[in-house]
Amino acid sequence: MTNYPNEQALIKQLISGDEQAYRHVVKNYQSSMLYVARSIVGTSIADEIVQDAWLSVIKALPKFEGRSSLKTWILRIVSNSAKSRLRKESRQFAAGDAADLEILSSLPSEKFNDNGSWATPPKHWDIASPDALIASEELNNIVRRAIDKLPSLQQSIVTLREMEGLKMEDICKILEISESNSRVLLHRARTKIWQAIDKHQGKENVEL
Amino acid sequence: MLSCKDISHLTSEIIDNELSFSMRIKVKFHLFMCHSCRNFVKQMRATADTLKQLKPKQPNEDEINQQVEKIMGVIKELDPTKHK
Repeated sequence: MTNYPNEQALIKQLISGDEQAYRHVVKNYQSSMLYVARSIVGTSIADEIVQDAWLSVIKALPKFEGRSSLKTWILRIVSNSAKSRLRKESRQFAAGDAADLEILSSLPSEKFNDNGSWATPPKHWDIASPDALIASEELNNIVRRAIDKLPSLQQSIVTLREMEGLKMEDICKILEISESNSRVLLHRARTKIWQAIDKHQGKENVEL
Repeated sequence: MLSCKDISHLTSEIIDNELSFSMRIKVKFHLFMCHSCRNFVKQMRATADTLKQLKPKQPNEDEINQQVEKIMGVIKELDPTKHK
């Protein structure tokens, strides 16, 4: 894969219509673009939204001022395309957000006694360090599958925040959610993934 | 005093260093007394750190080719003078 010394060099190549530059951006950004689109409009028309967004990106690139990273800028465009589609269809955004917040609790209540102490305390993990967790192919797959099972907003937050390292402030703007909701969703996502790892580490089955 | 259940709700704030000073003291006190919660916080921290090390998903070669082809088509349509 072509390496670009900096983002400016990449943007210059994109503006000139260089195929390799677009290949680089598609490879590295397309999945996040789809996550964001799915979080806002749902799975069925997410791909359409991404195509609309690409058109806007190509048209607007010469005007890109570099006030955010290219990735954040592109994800904002996806988010705007998705939201404008919802407006056209007179649908409400944030339905998914509310549902995520209502339905999911962080840990099953049977994990705790009535007085709030652990009924089934977390067990010892044989594979406990992040390096060891990553190195185990099985656990790596378990974590990836757990991410795929998360509701779309939680998937977006985990991907953008943990894996891509975007700032929470930018993520909130992209997904149009409040800071406090984003924190709740991140916590729930992490807890779900903890449960998936925990289930694999011992005999006790935790319902996912 | 905070319960173990309270700690389980606060774990992300603990590992992301987002607690207020007074809450931090309460959490520290609980963790000092409670082995299970220390274990849980440690495991949640490992979970978050694992996610940070995980490579984001990338589309497969076919998906990349298809998308790049579409993009190049749009670029040509918008400005036929642009080379591939």
